[in-house]
Amino acid sequence: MVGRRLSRWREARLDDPRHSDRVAAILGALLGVSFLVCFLTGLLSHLIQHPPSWFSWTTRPAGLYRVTQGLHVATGVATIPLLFAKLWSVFPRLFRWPVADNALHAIERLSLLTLIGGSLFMVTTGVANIELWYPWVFFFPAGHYAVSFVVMGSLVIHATAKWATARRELRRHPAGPREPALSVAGRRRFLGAVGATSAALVVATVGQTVSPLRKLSILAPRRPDIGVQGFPVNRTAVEAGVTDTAQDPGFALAVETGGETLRTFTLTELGELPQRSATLPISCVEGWSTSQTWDGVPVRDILDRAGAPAGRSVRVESLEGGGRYRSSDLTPGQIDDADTILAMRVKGEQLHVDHGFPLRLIAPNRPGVLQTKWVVKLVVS
Amino acid sequence: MNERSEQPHDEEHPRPLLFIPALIAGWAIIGFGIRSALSHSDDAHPFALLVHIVTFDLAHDLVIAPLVLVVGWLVAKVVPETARGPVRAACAASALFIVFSYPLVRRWGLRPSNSSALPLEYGRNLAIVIGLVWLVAAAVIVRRVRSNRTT
Repeated sequence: MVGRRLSRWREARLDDPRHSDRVAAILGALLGVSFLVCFLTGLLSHLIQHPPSWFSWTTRPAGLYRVTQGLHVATGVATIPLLFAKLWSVFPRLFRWPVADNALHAIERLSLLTLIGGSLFMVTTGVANIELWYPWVFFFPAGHYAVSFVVMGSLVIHATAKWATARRELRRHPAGPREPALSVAGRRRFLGAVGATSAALVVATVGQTVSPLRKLSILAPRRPDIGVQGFPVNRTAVEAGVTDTAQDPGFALAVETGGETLRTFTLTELGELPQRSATLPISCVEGWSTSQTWDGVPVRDILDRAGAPAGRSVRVESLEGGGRYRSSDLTPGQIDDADTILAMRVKGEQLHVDHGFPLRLIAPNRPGVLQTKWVVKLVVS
Repeated sequence: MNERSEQPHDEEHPRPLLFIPALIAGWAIIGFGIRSALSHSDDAHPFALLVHIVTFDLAHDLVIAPLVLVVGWLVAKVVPETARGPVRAACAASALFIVFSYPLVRRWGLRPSNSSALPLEYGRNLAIVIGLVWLVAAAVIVRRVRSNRTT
């Protein structure tokens, strides 16, 4: 009978130390940590971009989002070898016969479908996203967000079911009393190879946010020092369809409230206002980041000069005709940070149109997609 | 021979007292994800998500895992035992780097107006990484052969 044959094959494979409970427990614990880090950092990014009423996001420390999102992507990348090693290590266990002994056991085994399929979905879509490749119909953040909960819920079920085994295996002395030295060595070599592959993959990509490693990161989809004016662009003026409007000599910034224009500022007028210089990161949700020195006028000063009421939130609108990221919101707390500026210059030069000329928002501790470019309007709520 | 003795590696079954609350909590979290997909269906395309998850399950169990087993078996057939582990590890790491980098090498995400997107020579760089992987594997094999000779 095929079931019994497969079951015997399973038993033979599980004698191999690389398929042991201890390897499953070690890889499982590492994956548990990496999934949790990815989930929490991803959730944070989601909350910052779509804040519910109970959530507010601070402007300090200025580089915090750069760290959390860099960690999100780097941890996700590190997870790939761990995940495949774990799946390979436990694969023989799939062929248990009978498939399950009772209803709870069957439910536990069925929950692996959402855990494994969901985990592979998360790493695959995550990698494709940082590589700017979208071979699917759904909007990446919406799909990645929804499935992250499916994976974490399945993980709670799986981790609880395996808790006793994992605890026992992780607590026992690395070389058990009945374990031959060769088994221990085989297991360690396997885990060493998995760890080395994981580390190599991280080094090959993490330089897109950890600048000193950029020359080692030869598989990074971005380099923090490559792009117009020496740093990357996420969306160019051509892609946004603003090349002509952004360079219109008659450009003026408007400050509005309740459908009424409080004041407009020409670029000359903005240039004559007291300027603020701020060294702040652009931190892309795709995991690259770069710190630059920006010069411009604090949003607070512009609002004050326009006579806008204080303590209100502000919508920052772009010249872009459409798209999900044509505007972003600033809370009163974010506006009051003096480093929240409408920048006109970077690295001492006029902004390139791809970096948001004539005006771009740059503020501390904010995802790149919310650092609105080609700003034309501030709408006070 | 009874069922138990035939399966000395049998797994421990979930304990109801812990497992049932975990099942409820787990499905509450999964349910939140499903609700999010359904309530943003224009963006999330819940059916497409489901198809993807099932496809990944099937692709792993029916394609990836059997392929890895076959390659492992082939390595066992043609490679001497001393070199088997490093060769298998190098095969796995190479496959992983190739799959990871393939969209970069093919420049599927290239944006014509954006010189900062995918700016590196990924084909050459992938070759360098795979070369390094096999260099490490070769070094491990040489060390093993030498240590076998001295013992």
